[in-house]
Amino acid sequence: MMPRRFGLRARVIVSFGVGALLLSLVLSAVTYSLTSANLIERRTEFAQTTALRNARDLNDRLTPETDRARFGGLLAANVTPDDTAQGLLYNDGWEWVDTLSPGQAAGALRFTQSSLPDELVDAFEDGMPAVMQFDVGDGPFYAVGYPLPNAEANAIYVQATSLQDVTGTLDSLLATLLGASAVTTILGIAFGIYIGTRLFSPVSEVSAAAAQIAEGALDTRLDEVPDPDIGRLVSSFNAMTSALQERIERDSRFASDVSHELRSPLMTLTGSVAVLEKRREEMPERAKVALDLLTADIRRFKILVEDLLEISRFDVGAVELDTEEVLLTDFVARALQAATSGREVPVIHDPGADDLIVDIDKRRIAQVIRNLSENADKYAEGVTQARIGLDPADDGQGGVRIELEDEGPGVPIDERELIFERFARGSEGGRRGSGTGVGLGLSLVVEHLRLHGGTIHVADRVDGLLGARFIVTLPGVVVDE
Amino acid sequence: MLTVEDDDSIRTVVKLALEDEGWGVLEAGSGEDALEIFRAEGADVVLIDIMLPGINGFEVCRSIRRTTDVPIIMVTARSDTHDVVAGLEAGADDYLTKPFEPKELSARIRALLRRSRSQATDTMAMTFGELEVSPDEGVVLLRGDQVHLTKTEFKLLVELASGPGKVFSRETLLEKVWGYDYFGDGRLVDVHVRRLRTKIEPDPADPRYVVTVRGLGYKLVP
Repeated sequence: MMPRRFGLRARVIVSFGVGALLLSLVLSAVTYSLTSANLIERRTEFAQTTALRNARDLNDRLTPETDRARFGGLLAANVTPDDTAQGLLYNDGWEWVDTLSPGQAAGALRFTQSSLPDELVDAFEDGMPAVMQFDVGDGPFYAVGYPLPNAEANAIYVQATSLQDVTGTLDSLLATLLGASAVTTILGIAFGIYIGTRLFSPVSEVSAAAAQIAEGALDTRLDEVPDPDIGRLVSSFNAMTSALQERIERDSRFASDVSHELRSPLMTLTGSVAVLEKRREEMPERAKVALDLLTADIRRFKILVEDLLEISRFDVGAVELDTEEVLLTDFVARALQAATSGREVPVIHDPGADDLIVDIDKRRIAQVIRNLSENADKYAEGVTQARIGLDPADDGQGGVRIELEDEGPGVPIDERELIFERFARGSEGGRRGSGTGVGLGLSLVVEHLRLHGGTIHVADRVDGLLGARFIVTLPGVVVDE
Repeated sequence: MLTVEDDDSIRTVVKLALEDEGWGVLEAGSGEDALEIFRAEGADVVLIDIMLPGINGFEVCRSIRRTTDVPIIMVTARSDTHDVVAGLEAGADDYLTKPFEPKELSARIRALLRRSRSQATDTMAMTFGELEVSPDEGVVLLRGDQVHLTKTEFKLLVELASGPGKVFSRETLLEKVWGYDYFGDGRLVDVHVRRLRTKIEPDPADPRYVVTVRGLGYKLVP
């Protein structure tokens, strides 16, 4: 399937908006056309009726002998619609007699004989009644003409009514309708947003919950909802999560149980080897070699079991920090000393970092240092230098930085993330990351640090020489005096 | 010493190893046997596995603690569970996590049996309010009545009493009382201080004598 450019929610909102726009435009168009037809029709009908009546009245009062000079007075007696001009046209030199009804505002109507379109005048010349709608200057007019048979030769009574007020009304109606359409469209979009949000809120909750689960909060569950459609999604999601949690817990419990079960035989092995060690001198050479191998491997085995147990506790989530305040320089020096069986490793510190007191889980951070040190023993000639300072990335928040350097071959850039994964030795066998020889050491380091909110990464040495530099950061641990 | 352990192989090897270190070892395969043997023959140190069929290790520990202050070492399967604290609360003086080195066990036993050695104040009885501590006689009096403390609790009190008002860090107390190095388990100190308080403090929740100094350790208020 082609990836869609817009999300489902955006499409719902756009649909609502476009729907509202189209609907309101159609309604506006219908309303406008009906109203405009109706208004104009009424006005023109009225104009026609009054014109016909006036023409008849005029005709009744006229004889061929009537003086043209009296016509003005006769026209003034007529009742006409507002904004209407009247006139009489003769076949012998057509003459506009009166341009205004009495009482009409003089400026309201700029209509004269010459305003009449030629087509209309042509129609009148044939002596026929005619109607026509046309534009004069800035407004539409509706003109009606009736012949007056009693008057002298082919006189036509002409009445021209302005439709300007009607078109004005229609213009403002159009503006109102367009405004209403715009408001309707906006409301449609708002409604679309509301519906979209309502509709997709279960989806958003599901995705938020899934993100939480991915981050390790396996006990995340969605609240049950009464809606039958969404309810099914929620309950299957919850069922899936429970199954996943159970599965993961079973796996980690298995690791924990296995390492637990290994402790008893390991105890017997440890004790037995100790008893044998006591009698090492009584043994033949070959047995001594075998005993040494046994002792070394039991030690490795013991560390492996302990690391496995430790890491399975992280997996089950049954871990908590047991923090204590310690002097950082002293702590790191002692931890290194314990890890290297007393070999002196120089611990240098940034100016002012010599009396930092930090609140940390001693056991865990000591294990971090021990595992890093063992890792350095394995791949280099051990840690050659430790550097302590405030973490510039966590400036002012009480973060500290512990860096351990060695003089080994360093870590290739493409392996710098990999080495912190479990059993990370992979096919290359000799890869870094296996403090215990089985590849759990550095992943335990990561877990211990994560519990503190800290991080670890590996970089080149500051001085550019060959070797690795492991950088541990612990945020917010410095205790204010 | 008496070792209580239901796993035959472990019990045998612990006995062998401890005998190598020069200790005489009595064995018990269950809590019931342990209490019987302890009543009949006694022991200088008792090593108890918490996971026992029948009466569990905590019960054995509490039973022994009711009658004597003999040093007790608990053997736990894990170091970070509530087992450790529960074992210490039940009256154990120290604990080890399986699998341990026999040498380590031997060192722990020696530390527990070592007599409290306070500095210059050794023979002098010291008084703190209504509390009177006589290191050389091994006696603690509260308002004139003798308070019954275990050896470890006594050593802890004497250590604190050697510097009235001075703050002792958990590391220092671990080293002086239990013989641990810097990386010993601070919970040992915490639980023992708690037990000591229930015996000598008028109100253990608001201690008058053994006071916690946050982030630093403990001190005895003169």
